[in-house]
Amino acid sequence: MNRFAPNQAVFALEEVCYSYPAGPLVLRDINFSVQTRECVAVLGANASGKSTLLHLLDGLYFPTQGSVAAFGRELTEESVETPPFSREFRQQVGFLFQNSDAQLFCTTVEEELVFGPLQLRLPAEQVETRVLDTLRLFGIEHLRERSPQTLSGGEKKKVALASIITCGPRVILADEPSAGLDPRTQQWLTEFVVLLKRSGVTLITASHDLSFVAETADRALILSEDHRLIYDGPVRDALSDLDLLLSANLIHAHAHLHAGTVHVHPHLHEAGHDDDHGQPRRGDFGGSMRPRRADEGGPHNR
Amino acid sequence: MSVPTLPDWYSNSVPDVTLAGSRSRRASLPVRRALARLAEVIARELSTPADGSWLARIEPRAKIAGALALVVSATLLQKPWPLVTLFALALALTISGRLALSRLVRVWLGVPLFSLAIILPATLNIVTHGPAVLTLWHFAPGSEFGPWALPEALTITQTGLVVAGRFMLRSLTCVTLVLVLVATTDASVLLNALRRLGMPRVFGMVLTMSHRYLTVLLRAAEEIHLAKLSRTITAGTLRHEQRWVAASMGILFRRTHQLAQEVHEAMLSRGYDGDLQVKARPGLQLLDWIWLSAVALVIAWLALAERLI
Repeated sequence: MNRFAPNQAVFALEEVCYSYPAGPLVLRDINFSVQTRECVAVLGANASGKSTLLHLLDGLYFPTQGSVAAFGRELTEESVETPPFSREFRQQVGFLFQNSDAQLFCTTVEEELVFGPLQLRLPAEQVETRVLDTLRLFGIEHLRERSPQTLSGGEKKKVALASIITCGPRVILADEPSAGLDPRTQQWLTEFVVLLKRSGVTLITASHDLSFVAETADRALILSEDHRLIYDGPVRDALSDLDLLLSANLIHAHAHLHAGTVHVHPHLHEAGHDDDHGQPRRGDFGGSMRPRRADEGGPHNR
Repeated sequence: MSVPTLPDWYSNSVPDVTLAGSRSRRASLPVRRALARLAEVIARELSTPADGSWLARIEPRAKIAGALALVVSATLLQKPWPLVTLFALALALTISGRLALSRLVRVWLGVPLFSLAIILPATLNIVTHGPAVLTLWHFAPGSEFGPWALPEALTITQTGLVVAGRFMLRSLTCVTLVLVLVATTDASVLLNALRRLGMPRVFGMVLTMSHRYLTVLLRAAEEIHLAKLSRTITAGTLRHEQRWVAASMGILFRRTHQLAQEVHEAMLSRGYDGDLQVKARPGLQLLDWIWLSAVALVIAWLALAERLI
């Protein structure tokens, strides 16, 4: 049940600046708002402030200047610790941390799934139902009694996400969710995020993975390396603006040899480029996977 | 733009691999063994207790109340036989609670470390008077130590040995009872029960977080050690290894601080507000009442024995 007004912005940030104690600013003058059911990707190079921004949205950090409001109420140390808002906010907003090892701190997978609902003081029967449903949804019934520390990276990510889902959040913040996952788990994650999106969940994802972003987000927020918001608009437009992506260090000007000459051009992570460098084309990426010699041209996809 | 090239010292390096054993490698073994042993012990101590025993099925609050009542009784008993009986009872609980005897022995081995230093002076005639059992030192007649006149000899007395023996037995009994409590109750459930019994919230929070961070600390220590091992070609001397362990403690502190912060944030993010909620157990059942009644009967019998024997 959503007890917050449905037409309110989920998050609204005004002139937000943030710096760690005795450190430089890691976010500068950030302004944006997120509406219900939006799927937003926060893009930026390493250390551009993506993770910090998600921590601010989850009420774990508080801005040095400016304000962050959630569901129409400003997030302050006092407000996120004062019931009933604190409990409702934690129930509504789930945070998938980049480091699954930090997120999984209980002794068994079942305890992980039970932890959130118990802290939110949900009735015991409801907790049990949620745990069973979530185990089934993620296909991790067999891991129920296992220690999270003994799981593989992909399994840990699934359990971390499952531990959030049992709280029933309508807003999910995900920090680099696809990082370090094998292709099958990455595919599973993409499909699951799309499922959440179709169910009307508001998603805010920080990621480097442009192919993941292209499949899961509608709107992009791009942070520059000097920690400013330099783009706020549709993902498709952002991904087709090579100058923007280059300036934000999301793609790189890649130097390589083609037919004996050094060639420099931007590389998108989600698609190849059309320049055949005067060489005959050898089919697309899904074709032959034979190793390519250093002096061969052809499509690129990384 | 020029294509970067690897430096000559790297690209022209010749692998120098020998499969022969190295004597110096043995120097790192004590450190490795100590870390591995520590990891094993902490993992075992933090593992969820087996649910098979009847003690594990007792409601934690009833178990804490019963165990604490027995511990207080142990500290009040003066006569040896009631104390021996209580010790035997604690042993019986350990066995019926399916606790490994080896674990109990390990815990017992730690008792003299703490209690002997306290109780050893009490065995001497300068603290406890009584018939001499063993003479340790003869003082010159009329010797003084500050304002105190020293006796003719420093001896271990019979009365002192009885006092020390009673203290040791009392310590062993209390430690065994607490082990029974801790080993048959999940740590988070135990902490929650203590909270419900009135332990201040801040203590509960500190204990809860300490429990969570132990595994974090252990993992970070293992990672640092493995990272070092992966880059070690020939290990240094034992002294070098010891120096490395001391230096890595600083790194470990920084890493664990960061990871502990993340764990705390992950807990907050899922609704933790300093008052840990755990799965509710039903109220006191028949087994809990039997346990509490048995504890009350034992205490009544001990009080009677203390008067009559």
